[in-house]
Amino acid sequence: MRTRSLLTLAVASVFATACSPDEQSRTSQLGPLDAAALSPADLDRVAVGDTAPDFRLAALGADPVRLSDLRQSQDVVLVFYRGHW
Amino acid sequence: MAVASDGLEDLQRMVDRVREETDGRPIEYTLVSDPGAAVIGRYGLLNEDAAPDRLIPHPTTYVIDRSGVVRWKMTEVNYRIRPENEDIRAAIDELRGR
Repeated sequence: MRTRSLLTLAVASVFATACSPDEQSRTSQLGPLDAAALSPADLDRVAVGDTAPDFRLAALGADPVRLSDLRQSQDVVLVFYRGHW
Repeated sequence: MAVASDGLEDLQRMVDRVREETDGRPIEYTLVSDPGAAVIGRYGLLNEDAAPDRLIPHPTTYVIDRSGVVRWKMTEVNYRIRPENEDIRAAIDELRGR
């Protein structure tokens, strides 16, 4: 079942690579370092219509990835999952 | 792009397992590592009851447009109910004005 979930991600990411309407890119500085006082559990914090907090993380088999760089050229499907099993 | 608190070694192990279980089908999206769950916490997704020894998020999918705005979101509160490809695709199509 979890493998199926990963395949879902794969398909989703393919669809995510095409263009979106041009919009002026906003700078988001809502990164983790700005949020030390926030509770780590608040499921409604980032809601539809909000700017997704920016971050930069190590990537498997690639240079570190910054969300704000990735979304410059494509819509992004961002998935948080439980990790290895 | 997929985020977990796994280190890169665990991510690699998972990729290897998926490859074995799918006859070599590669994962075609970026896997990133958030070992201290700083990003998971920034998004408010840390599941504090999940496991004492692991930093596990509430599984959540976002569709984010090029300006950085969240256009679609689903948090899984029941593991039996997961976002379907079609749901995510529909959100992206709408983003593109179709």
